[in-house]
Amino acid sequence: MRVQLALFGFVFTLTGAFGSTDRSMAELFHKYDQVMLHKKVELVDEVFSQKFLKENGGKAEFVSKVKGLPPVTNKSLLPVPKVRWKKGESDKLFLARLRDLNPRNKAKKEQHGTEFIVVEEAGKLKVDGTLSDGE
Amino acid sequence: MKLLISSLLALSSFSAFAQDLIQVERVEYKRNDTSFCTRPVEMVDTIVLHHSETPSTSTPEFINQLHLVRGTPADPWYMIGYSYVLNAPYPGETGPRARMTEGRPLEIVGAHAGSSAFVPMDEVQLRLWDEGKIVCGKEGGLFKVDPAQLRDGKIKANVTSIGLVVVGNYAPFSRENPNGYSPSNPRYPTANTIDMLARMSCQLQRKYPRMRYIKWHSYYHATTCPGNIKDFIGKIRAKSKEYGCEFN
Repeated sequence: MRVQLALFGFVFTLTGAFGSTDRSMAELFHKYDQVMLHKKVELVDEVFSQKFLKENGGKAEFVSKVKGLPPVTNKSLLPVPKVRWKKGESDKLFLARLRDLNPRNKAKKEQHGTEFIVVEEAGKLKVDGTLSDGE
Repeated sequence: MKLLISSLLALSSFSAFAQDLIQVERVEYKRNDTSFCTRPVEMVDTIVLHHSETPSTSTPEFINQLHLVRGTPADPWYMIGYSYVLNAPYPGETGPRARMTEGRPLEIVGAHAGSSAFVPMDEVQLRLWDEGKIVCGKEGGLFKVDPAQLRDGKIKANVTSIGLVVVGNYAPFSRENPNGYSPSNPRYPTANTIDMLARMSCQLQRKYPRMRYIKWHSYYHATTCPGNIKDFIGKIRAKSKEYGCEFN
């Protein structure tokens, strides 16, 4: 618990200068990795939009997919996810880029990352899916 | 008389339908006030297949909305990066309605294969480049040749290709792909999706005979796109042959 608090403190310190959306985004993706890497499935509702869960067969099916993921072996890659984000035309739509744990192309470090669709749901940021890469 | 006119109209719409292998719908897209590049369609020889990674129900307008956010603040994307968008149901599902929609016009260089992917040019492409037919600029402004489109005698893959995206997610679930399918239940394109891709490709080749290659996103750079669709490229090419086309 103390470690968790320290971790959140670190995340907030890192992003504090960049405004509340930065903080919310960092917190969201910290929780995202808690779900996807550490299988803290109790956070699923806090991380994913209801629409996302519905589109993915419902919460129970999504949780079973999370539980089926292989365990994380390289813990040095954790715990603070690096997130960059941009706001869409609507105030409630964002694109956030999260660094990949296993870069697909080691020669182009700047391009590593998954692009997430983030929406505002009931005043909180939630992951709504991803978007295929391409330029 | 009324009957005659309606019969003639029906007949003409039927013949129009008979000529087309697939109906392509059009929607209105919002565009950013930013630079883009244009080309003669003869420059295009390759159709590149993608998956959107989003749910299969995502509309072309929604994908456009997301693509408008891409790029840098100083140089955002002009509009949706793909030239065609295929909505089709997953196996065992009934929705969304299968439909092909036009995306970025063919004369405008797309944004899909990866800006760092460069390909060799054939004689026709080289001539068009040398004649200064590929130009970049902003709406209402001066369009000029952009040397950044070339590297070591090769040209950006986006200039010689168009992007055809299948809306949906055909890659396995992972931290990087939370919309993906469960590994115990892999997702593949349906026979109808394959058929629609073949029809669209063939329809393009009929109109633009220089389009003779079908490739996939990960051919150009390291990406999971287009997931399992990649394994069906051979089938799409074979199916297009049934419609009288030839693709490599």
